[in-house]
Order: sequence, then structure tokens, then C-alpha cells
Amino acid sequence: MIVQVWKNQQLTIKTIEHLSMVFVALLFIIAIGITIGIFLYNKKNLSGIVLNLLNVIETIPELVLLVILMPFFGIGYKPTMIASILYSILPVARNTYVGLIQVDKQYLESARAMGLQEREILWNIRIPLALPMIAAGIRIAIVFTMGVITLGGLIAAGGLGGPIQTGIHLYDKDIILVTGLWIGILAVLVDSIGSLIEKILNRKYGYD
Amino acid sequence: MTSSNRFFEKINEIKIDNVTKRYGSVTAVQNVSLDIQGGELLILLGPSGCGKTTLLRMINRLVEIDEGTILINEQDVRDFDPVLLRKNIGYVIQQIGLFPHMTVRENIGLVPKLEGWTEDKISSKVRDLLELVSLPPDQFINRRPKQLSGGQQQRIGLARAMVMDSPLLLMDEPFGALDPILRKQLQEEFISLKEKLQRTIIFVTHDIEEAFRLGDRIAILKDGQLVQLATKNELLVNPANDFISDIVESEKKFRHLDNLTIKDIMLPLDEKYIFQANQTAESAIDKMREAEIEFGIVLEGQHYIGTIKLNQLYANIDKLLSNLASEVPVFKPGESVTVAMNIMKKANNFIGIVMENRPEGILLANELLTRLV
Repeated sequence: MIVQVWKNQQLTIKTIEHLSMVFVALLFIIAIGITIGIFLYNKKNLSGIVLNLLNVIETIPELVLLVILMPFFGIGYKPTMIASILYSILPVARNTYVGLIQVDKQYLESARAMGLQEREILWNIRIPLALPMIAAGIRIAIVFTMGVITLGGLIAAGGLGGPIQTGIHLYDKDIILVTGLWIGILAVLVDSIGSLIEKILNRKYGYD
Repeated sequence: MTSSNRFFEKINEIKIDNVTKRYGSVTAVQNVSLDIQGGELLILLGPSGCGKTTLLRMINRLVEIDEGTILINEQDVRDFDPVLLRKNIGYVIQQIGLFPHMTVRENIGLVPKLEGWTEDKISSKVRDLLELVSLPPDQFINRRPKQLSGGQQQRIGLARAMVMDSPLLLMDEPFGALDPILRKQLQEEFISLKEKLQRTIIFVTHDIEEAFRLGDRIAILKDGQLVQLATKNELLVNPANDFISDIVESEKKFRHLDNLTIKDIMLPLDEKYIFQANQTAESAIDKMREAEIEFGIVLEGQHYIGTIKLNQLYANIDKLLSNLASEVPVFKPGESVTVAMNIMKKANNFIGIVMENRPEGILLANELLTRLV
């Protein structure tokens, strides 16, 4: 049954498609999230408003977000990518901001006392020491993104959401079961890679 | 550092003139005036909250002055760019603040790197500084702070503060968090380092013993005000008021040499200092790091063999401690302090072991000297 579903639904190619969508979305999420985090660090008085705004986006159910985007971006790949990016900026931006802010005072004090400028402290001390925290945010983003992109199958975005959609239409529980389980396993795998990276960063840049 | 950013080659005088600092309604430092002479080690001594750290931090402008002036070589510190000023002044804090994501080399070499030194120049400077603080460069240059004991970290902190060859060092309770014997070892090293370096040092502490051991002159502060600035002897002979005499009194209580036995002034032996002769140096290094000590007594069963120091172990990690232990003077608890002092002075040892049937305590040469003043 598994082999049959896998062949009929072309799960290999769908998996590659799925993961490449996750990967592209994550590139945007990381770039935008970290930029916003650093920006907020520089303009702390804006942090409340911006983080709250991102929070509001995140409280919108994924499905609703897709529907809201459809009038502007049509169906398929585009709105799905935009939704997954919008959805996951918050954890990355927030963790970057918090990571930069909460660097232990002793490191900041000795950096200042050595005659480092604030900009030098940001790049040489704050950002490296915030990396484990940022990685934790990215891990959350990975899980979110996997979810939103699967949901994108509903609006023909490609990836592993497609076969699920097919299974629902055909009342074929084999397809739903196999694809569903595979997405689950994939999510766990991707997350454990994320966890490994987080651990390595923690060992290198963590506090103890 | 380009020569135009080098503000002073040598400190002639630092003049703190009528300086006040307030935090809201609290006055942290109130109308303090004192002069620091070039080349001296001045101690700022006082209980916590007396304003000594605030005063120290106003010198490199980590804290801005509310009233009064601080002049270094007759130039107001406020006339300098604060970032450049701090590059000209070394600073060491109790928490050390080594950056955990950087190696020893990167920690010490950070400012030189930002100043655009070549890699070769940084490496050779870092190696020189490691030698200076008694850490074998090959063993330590690529370690990360978490692979170092507290004492080693503090040495690196000191090396980092000296990397720009600033003629002025500010130190804020650098040995405050260390094991008591290790603290004395580092003080010992620091005294000989100080002779070599000939820098001007301002040193904050709340430890009267440390103040008397290290300081050329001692400024005692209380509630943000300077109570007395004097040499050790002047403080003992001429305390300005009861507050001072109470402080120095504790130092005088050991003055009657003749009545004292070694038992009265030895440090009781903690189990953590005991090592076995059949241990390898490597396992001893691990144990010392865990216990945050750098000194140990080697026993074979209950039988005393000798003593070891952490820094001597690194070059011989496979050898047994029985081959590495070195002799130090041994005393009985009942012996007279005067005799012990002479023996230790002759042997040029700052540590002695007190034994009855097995080691009972540790005798530190300077313990005697400072307590007897």
C-alpha cells in the first residue's frame, strides 16, 4: 500500500518540491526576521508596536490568512509562500531582538570598558551571543512553515499538501494516511536537524 | 592604536577634584578629592555601597561625573572621546567578562584586531602576555573561557586589560570571587607582576587584608565620602577616626607575635586540596578545575609527599603526582610563628604545610606579614 501510494502520488518529487518551498520560505524568513530583530534593537521604542503587529498576524488562523491573501496574489505558490513567511517572521524577529537585548551585563561592561563602540559591540559580542536564541526562533519557524506549506496544497501550491487534498477528494484513506504520516516524519526529521544546529551553536556561543 | 589616539605614555598624576555623583536622590559619591601619583598602586577600600566602584568607573567614563573634575596628566577626562579614552585605560572586573564565544587569543586580541593589527603581531603580543601571567601559551592560546578555571580566567582578564600597553589599570575586586588560597596565590603573582610593569593601578576592594597586602596607599571610603587616604603605617598609627581604627583594628590583633603559634594563623585544610601520589597530572588538572583551585597537597596514603601547582602540571600530563610534587617547608601546629616566618623567608616559599601526623593546615608567608604589619 505504501509503495503504491508513493508511486501513484509521486511522493518523491512532491517531497523535493515541498522541502524546496520550505527552504526558500525559510531563507526569506531568516533574512527578514533577523533584519527586523536588529532594527528593533536599534529602535527599541518601536519594538512594542512591531512585535505586537507580528503577533496579530500570527493569531490569524493559517487557513484564514491564505484566504485573505488570495484576492491579492491569486492561488497556488505565491500566496502560500507569502503566508508562510508572514506567519514565521515573528518567532525569528522576536528571538533575535530578545537575544540581542538579554546579553549578560558582564560581557557588555567589559566590552565597553575596552573601548568598543556600540556598533562593534553589536557585531562582535551581541549577535554571536544571540545566535543560540535566534536558532531557537528559526526552529519554531521551521515547524510553522512546514504546516503552512502543507496547507497550501488546498490552493494548489504544490508540495505534499497536494496528495492530501487528492485523498480527501477521493475519500481514499490510504493516500491520506501515507502522505500524512510521511509529512509528520518529515517534520520531525527537519526539526531534529534544527535541534542539532541549535545545540552546536549553543556549545559554541552559549553561556556555559 | 595610531599615535594620535594614544593619550598618555605615562601617568604623572591623576587628580580627582571634588567629584560628586548622584543617582536620583541617592548620592553615590560626594565631594571626593584625591590625587593618585604616577606608578603607585592606590587602593579604594570600603564596604559595599561606599561609592568605590562608582568612583573607579568615573575615571574611564563608564559613569559620567555630575560635579567636579577628574584630570589625568592635567587633562580633563571629559575632553577625551570616551571610547578612545577607554582604549587608553585597562580595566579588570570581578566577573572577568571573558567573551564565551571567543578563544583566549580572540579575547585578548579583540581590540588589537579592531585597531587593525596584523595577525602575526596579535599572536606574538598574546603569547607575551600569556607568559607574563604565567600561563604556557601553547597550552592556553586556543582554549575557550569555559575550559579555564576561575584563576586562569582572571589571569586572561588581566592579560586582556594590558594588551594595549595602557599605563593605567583600573581593577574592580579582581580576586574577589576566588578560593582563599588561590586568591593569595594570584595576589602574590600580581605583586611581582606589578614590580615588572611599573604601571599606575587603581584597585577597588572591600578586603582589608588584600588592601594592606597590595596597596602603596589606601583610600578608605564610607557613604560616598573619602574618610582617609594614607599609607598602611599611617592608617595604623594615625587613624583619622573610629571608623578607620575599627577597620585597621582587625589587622592589629595578631601583633603579639610571641604568644602566637602556627595553629592560630594557619588556614585549616580542606579536603579539596588533597591529592594522591598515584594520580596522573591530567586527573589532578581536572580535579583542580572543578574545585576552582590551583594548589594541592600530595599524599601517599596518609604520608605527605609534597605540593603541586596547577601551572606546572600541564607540561607533564601523563606523569604521576609522586614525580611532580615539590618540597615545601613543613611545620608542627604548636611551633612558634616567628621561627616559621624565618624559615619560610629563607626558603623563599610562600606556602608551608602544617602537619601533626597528617596535613592539618596551610601556612601562607604573607598571611604572617600582613597580619603583623
